[in-house]
Amino acid sequence: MRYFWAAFFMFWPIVAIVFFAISPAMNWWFPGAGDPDSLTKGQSMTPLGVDIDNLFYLILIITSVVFVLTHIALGYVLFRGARDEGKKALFSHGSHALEVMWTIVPTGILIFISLYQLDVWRKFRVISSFPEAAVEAPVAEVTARQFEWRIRYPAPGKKLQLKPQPDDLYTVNDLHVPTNRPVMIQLRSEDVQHSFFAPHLRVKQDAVPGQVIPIWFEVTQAGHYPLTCAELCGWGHYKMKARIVAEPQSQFGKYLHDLQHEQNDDGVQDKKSDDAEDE
Amino acid sequence: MKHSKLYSLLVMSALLLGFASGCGGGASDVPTITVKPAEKEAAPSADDTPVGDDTPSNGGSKDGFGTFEGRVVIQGTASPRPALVLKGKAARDPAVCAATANIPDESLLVSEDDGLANVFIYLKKAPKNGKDSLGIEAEQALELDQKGCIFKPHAMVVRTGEVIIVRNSDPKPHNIKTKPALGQPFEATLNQGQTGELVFDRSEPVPVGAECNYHTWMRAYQLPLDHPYGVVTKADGSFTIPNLPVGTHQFVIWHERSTRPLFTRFTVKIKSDGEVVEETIEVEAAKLTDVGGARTKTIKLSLNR
Amino acid sequence: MRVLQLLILTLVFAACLLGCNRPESTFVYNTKTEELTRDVGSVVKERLDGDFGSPKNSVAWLRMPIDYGTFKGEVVEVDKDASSVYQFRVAFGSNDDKETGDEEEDAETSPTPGEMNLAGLAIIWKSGDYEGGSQIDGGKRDGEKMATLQVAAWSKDEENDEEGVLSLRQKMDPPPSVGDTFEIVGHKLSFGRQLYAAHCQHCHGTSGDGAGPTAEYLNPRPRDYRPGKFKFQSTLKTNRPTDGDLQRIITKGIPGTYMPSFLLLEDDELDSIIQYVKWLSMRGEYEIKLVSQLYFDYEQVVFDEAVESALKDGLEEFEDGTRDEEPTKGSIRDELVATANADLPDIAEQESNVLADAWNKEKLESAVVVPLVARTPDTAESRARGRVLYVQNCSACHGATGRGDGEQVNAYMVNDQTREKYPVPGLFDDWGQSIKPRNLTRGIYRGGRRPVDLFRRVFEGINGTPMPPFKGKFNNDKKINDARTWDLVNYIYHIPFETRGKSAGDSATKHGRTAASTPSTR
Repeated sequence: MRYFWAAFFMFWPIVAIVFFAISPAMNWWFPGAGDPDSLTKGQSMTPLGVDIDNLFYLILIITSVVFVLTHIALGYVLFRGARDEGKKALFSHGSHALEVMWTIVPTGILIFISLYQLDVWRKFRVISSFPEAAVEAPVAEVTARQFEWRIRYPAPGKKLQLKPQPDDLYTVNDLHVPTNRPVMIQLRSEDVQHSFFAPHLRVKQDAVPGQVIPIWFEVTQAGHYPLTCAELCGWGHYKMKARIVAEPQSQFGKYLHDLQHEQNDDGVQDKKSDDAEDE
Repeated sequence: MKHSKLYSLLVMSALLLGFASGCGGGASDVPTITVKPAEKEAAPSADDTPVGDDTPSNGGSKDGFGTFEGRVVIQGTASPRPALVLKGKAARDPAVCAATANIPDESLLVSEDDGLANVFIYLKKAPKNGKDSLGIEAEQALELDQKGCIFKPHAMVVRTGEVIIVRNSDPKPHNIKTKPALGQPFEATLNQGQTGELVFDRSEPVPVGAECNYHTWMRAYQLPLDHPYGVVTKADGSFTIPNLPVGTHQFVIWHERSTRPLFTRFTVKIKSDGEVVEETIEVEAAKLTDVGGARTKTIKLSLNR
Repeated sequence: MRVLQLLILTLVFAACLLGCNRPESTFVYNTKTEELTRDVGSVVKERLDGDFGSPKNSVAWLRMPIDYGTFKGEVVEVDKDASSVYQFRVAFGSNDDKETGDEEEDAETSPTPGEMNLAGLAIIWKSGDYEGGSQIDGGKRDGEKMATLQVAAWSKDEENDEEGVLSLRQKMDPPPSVGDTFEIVGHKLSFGRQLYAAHCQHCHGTSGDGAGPTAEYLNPRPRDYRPGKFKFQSTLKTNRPTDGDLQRIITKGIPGTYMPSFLLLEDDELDSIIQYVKWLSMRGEYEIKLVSQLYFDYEQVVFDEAVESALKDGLEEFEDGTRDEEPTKGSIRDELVATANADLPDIAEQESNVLADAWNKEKLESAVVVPLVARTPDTAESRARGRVLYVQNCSACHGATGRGDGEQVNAYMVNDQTREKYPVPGLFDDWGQSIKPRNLTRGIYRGGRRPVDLFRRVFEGINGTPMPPFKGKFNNDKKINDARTWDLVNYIYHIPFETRGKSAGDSATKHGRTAASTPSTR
């Protein structure tokens, strides 16, 4: 078994590439990729998310090329070493040129990546770069707590205030946003660190107790998207799931009105309108 | 060491087997369901007469009624109970409650000749050939008054379905709350002068405590029965139960200072019509100071929330 | 050395196999049940197990008003040659009910299981030789027949949702005939059990006793359903909650506590959980009531005393000649135990009927608290009137400023189980936990924040807590009473927004607006 170690060290990178190739089919890739029935089919549902995906692919390509090249080199070296067994090895004191090269080139690549992504980062994270439309009219305040998401909407027609207002609308685990419009939410935490993670929208932001953190996104396609917690927050972290319902503005307005009507239910108003509904 | 290859093989297989033991998913949690029909099949029904505590005694006329009377006395000395609320120190409404005097603890009332008051003596179930009324009940409707921030009377026996008029005779609001073991609970909040109607729908195995949530020291006991054979001893510990049918009866004797009934089967035999059975029932003082302590686990949670 | 290595190897191997142990869930019994004298206690437990079962082997008692989930079907094909069968073809959807032509309605009245797993469910025959149960005699008690045939598997046809092959766990000898109708009962109970185990059990416990493994870390503790008391219901205090109440609690959670929202459950999952919780509550209450009737006579200490005195009486009777045999302690014990056990079936019958009546759907729906008048408009005058009522009625517990720091937190309550004062001052609920009057300045309303929810809390109080009912207290006229209750509700809504001089909220403007100085209300 002369070539055992060469084969061994070439085997695992090949396994990695195979796993990579089958990952959409196994649902290990972007949510919905590889599933023809899914709503998103692996695409991001926000324009910024598309930018993030493009960044991801860029880095993937760069690192894949490097990965393949270095492993070919490794494999060749191992193979040669195995084939020429018994041959005397070259005793090297190092190569200055080589060391300079393999410092400068990766540095260059990384600097390129870090500069290239600055724009996307700015768009997502720098508050002064948030779209005007989002900042003017935040949709809701989302408070993470063990183990649910509590949501406070301003009354229809009013602006969300930092201090809760008497006519604010409250709900749990059910965040509605209008589509095709940049929306902003204010993220808070009631107890420990959580993380607002909407995978289909490529949005992730830690919720830090004591801070109010704005997050913006624009959903292009109506639908129900899961909202999960991405920061281990306790025994219920795994089931801290909510839903984001993206719907056209008219439906969103109707939702808020219905919520307001339900929240002002005094037990009598619906009876008056001959509704069979109890309570 | 020797046999290292064999050894490492053993270890690997042991570990693999160990990991594999996690396979097979979680415990099969799918339950098995059987169905029990709503009504019993028409089986020969058990004896319909209430399983009373009495058996007809041999020898002696089967008809007729006797009387069971006597006194409940305390054996030994019971240390007097401290006042429930000291004068002027009521946690709530001090202008009305304990304004001019302490509110005494009525849970242990011993007369000068060691008679024990407020002891419940009753039959669990209606006896065979029992009467519907003993002839000693009060004429007017029963009342439970909240005056001076205490309940009056402290102990009473009522019939199921009988209305007790709860009255608030204090200038401050009171609340009355009962938590019977078997029947429906009752609760009402009463302003000055308001009344409520307390009705027990089922007979209870032991007396039910009534409390006030505003004045948490207030306590009174009512025992609902579906027959009239239940009395409360008077201030001197005396009691009388007339019109007790001939036979053997087993009385329950209960006092609020003992978690368990003092007697569950106090046997009284009426052998013939007109017989009077007189008993002096002695209760050890030690039994009356033990109210079980913390038999229910009190969960002490942090009050800082 | 070799021995040591082998020893280590064995231990490692054994440790890895620990995962193979799968302990079974069981219901726990009340402390009072355990305190009964053994012979009586075991009969009570036996009856309880027979009437409700265990988590793994549950009994769907049709007397209880629970929707266990039913599928109606009939046999379409049976292997004619076999003398006994385990499986046969069936079609679901009742043929008795007339098709109304309305697809939705038909689907509701005669649902088909579709892809559902029917393993373990009971099958009751409605016609044919097996009508009324099963001819396989298993578990007859007191003349009651229990259906003991269970489904092993159900495989639906590819195209047709309604037809497929039904396999049973037990052999049917002889086989059923084509056209025999049956019902498969219990899918909601079974599904509810599995969902409850996944979502609820770790806090609320297998028996619904609020003592699951995570419960000890929570304040307030998870609800113990067994007394049948639910705090936030829309019905009168003497009634049980409606299904709608339970649904609201499960989907909205309870803010300010550890009860999370389960909004994302499917409708059928939610319904199954609700039925299962009701079932657990009924089981718990049934046990409590059975034991209440027997406890004061048959608790161990009392029972021993009773045996002593009965022995004395028995010896007297023996001397009188009224008793034939000389009684011994053992024979007296047996006599007394026999009395209890003879009483038990009647007691059980009585209590189960009372329980079934208490949970009756129509009764609950008619007991819902509905205000007589619509909410008074939320004006400053209304709030002022509410403030007056608040000071008179509420401030003693909830405090002058609504922070829950009224003078009652210094009062000593008495535990109604032991009739002894609690060692610490403050309020306690019926489950023995310390409880504070709600801090109304936070704007957290546990039972729901709709006006009708607050109205119900004030009107009827909160079950199991010292919060009293105020119905009829503001005025003898019911309509005026309700109008004044609305004034109070308007004021309560306003409390979090009142400025009260020097409070944390005021310093916010000085030090910049951070989350810390603006309390989040939910």
